[in-house]
Amino acid sequence: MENTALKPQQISKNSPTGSLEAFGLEVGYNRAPVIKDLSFVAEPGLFHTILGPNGSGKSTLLKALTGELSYSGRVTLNGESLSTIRAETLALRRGVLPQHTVLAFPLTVSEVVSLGVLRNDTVGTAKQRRNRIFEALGMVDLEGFEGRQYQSLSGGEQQRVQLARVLCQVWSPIAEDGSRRWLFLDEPVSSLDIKHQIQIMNIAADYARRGGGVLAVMHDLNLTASFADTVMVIRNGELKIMGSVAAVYKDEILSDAYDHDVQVSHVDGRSAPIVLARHG
Amino acid sequence: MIEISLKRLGAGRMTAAMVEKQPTGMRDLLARQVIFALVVVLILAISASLTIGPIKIPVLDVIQHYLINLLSGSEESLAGINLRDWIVLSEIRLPRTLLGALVGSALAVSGAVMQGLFRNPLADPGIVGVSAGAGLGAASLIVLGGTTLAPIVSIFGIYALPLAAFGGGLCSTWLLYRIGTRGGVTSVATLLLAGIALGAFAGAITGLLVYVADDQQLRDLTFWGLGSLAGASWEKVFAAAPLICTTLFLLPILANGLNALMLGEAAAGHMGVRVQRLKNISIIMVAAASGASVAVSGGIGFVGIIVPHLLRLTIGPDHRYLLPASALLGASFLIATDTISRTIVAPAELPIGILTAFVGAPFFLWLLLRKRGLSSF
Repeated sequence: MENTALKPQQISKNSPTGSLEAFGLEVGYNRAPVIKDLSFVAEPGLFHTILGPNGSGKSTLLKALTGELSYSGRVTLNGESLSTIRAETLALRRGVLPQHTVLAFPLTVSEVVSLGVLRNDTVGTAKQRRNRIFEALGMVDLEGFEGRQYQSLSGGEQQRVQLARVLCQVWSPIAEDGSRRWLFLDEPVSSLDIKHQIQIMNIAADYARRGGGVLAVMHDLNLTASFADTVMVIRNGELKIMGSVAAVYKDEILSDAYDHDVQVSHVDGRSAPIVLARHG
Repeated sequence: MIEISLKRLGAGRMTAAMVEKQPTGMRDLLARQVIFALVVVLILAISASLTIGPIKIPVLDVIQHYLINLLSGSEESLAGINLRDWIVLSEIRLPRTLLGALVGSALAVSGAVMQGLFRNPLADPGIVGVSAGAGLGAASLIVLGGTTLAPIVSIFGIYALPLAAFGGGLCSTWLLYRIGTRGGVTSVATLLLAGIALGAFAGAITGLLVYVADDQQLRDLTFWGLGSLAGASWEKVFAAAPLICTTLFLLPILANGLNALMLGEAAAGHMGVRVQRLKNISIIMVAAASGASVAVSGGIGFVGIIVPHLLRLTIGPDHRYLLPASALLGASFLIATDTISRTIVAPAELPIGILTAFVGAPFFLWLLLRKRGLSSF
């Protein structure tokens, strides 16, 4: 983990393989810009996170980066402009975990996950692709849930089923042509208990360690501190800072970002800092 | 020990193979078996429909004679066949049965596609006013076909009526979608209300047309409201077949998109589905299939709700299986109901729309009540 904070000004236009880049990104609903002139470069192999207060534009930013919202400016994935990648191709390059998913019709858990195995994904045998479903369910600690009705699960279990589905979509972090795959996670752990929070963060971190890119919108500052390689702080649609946890987790930066007095502490025997909000 | 006995028993080995092929929670194998069974059911329904009626026809016998004569190159292809049987079979029952199959599959598939598109099990061309739009298109052609719309009739001939119904269905489906969709999100409540309003509006204009219609046109129009296959003819089969068959053959391209859509429009987009294109194709297909069936048989309700729903309960909502299974069961269901409707009060005939509504309306209510009981859904 490097300590240098990466500022937008330092970004070069030469895109190495696998990176996710944004230049002068602007997103607006009904013309009022929610994201203003935002630029960054995110390399694969790292766990990137986006932090910021409610309404700061985190989710909007993620939606633009996944191609769900239209934007002006430029977003590239693997050096290719997002707007020119075919939808089917893009689906094999990045998976997206939404905050909430409401099913239209009753499906079993393994049927939901099997939707993630795309028909145009031809890597491996049909049987191997099928086995992914069960391996992915094992990764999110849902072995034995295969035949259960999705609707009957708790919110946290449903969220883990969805993660398994997304993992099936972008199974290997490095594609067979050498390009990197990306995982976009929109508040992946907000409805989970602490054990499964850690588990999901570990899955994401592992995906990055194996060469893929991960970009997650996060709420929990302490969880982020323990797992993230880089942190982007968004406020009022602007990128305040992007850098390592050590660079970003400073009293004044976080207090300013969240408009609340917070204190970053370090505890012996724990590499990640701890953030406490002052109250009273 | 168990392994040995499994190896010895052919059936046991098959079960073992099935277990290996069919992981927990997946219903592919079941769906394939059900589809196979539905093919058999359809064949039985067709045979029954051809055989049963005021005149009992030994269908197999007739077909056998016909084929033997045909293959042996005999000049008299109808040798050995009772002429009356042959005429009843080829001119009355066969077109009627085929029309029933076409209309039944079109209605069921339209319902299934629409439910997938609107992510709601209660969407149906009849309920959301698409059939009313198609009816208006057809009524306009019946009443104004001799005057204002005469050029259309002269250009399209027998296809003018199904095309007019298709146009009417397309307009109302498109309007419905535009009204029900805001910012890429389709509101089902708005959709149903708008569908009722559109249906009433189309009904009002159809009423105006009835007002200006002459006696013959009035008879033609009345037949619409009831919904019946009684007017079946080869002409109608050939008029409806192109639109309906095209739709049925194009269905596989929708299945994966509709499956992804079960997770929502955004998630479907993330999975590589071009959602807007999927919507456009689906709407055109629904309008084509339900328009063509309304054109030849009037308003036959509830098939589009009952059939896909029953199938979802058995084989699950996977559209790769649901769509073909709906086509098969819809065809069998309509052929069977039609056979009942033309024999139950013989020699008179009950309009089939009455029978499907008789079965369908209570089923629909049961569906609503059952849904209310399930808090998780």
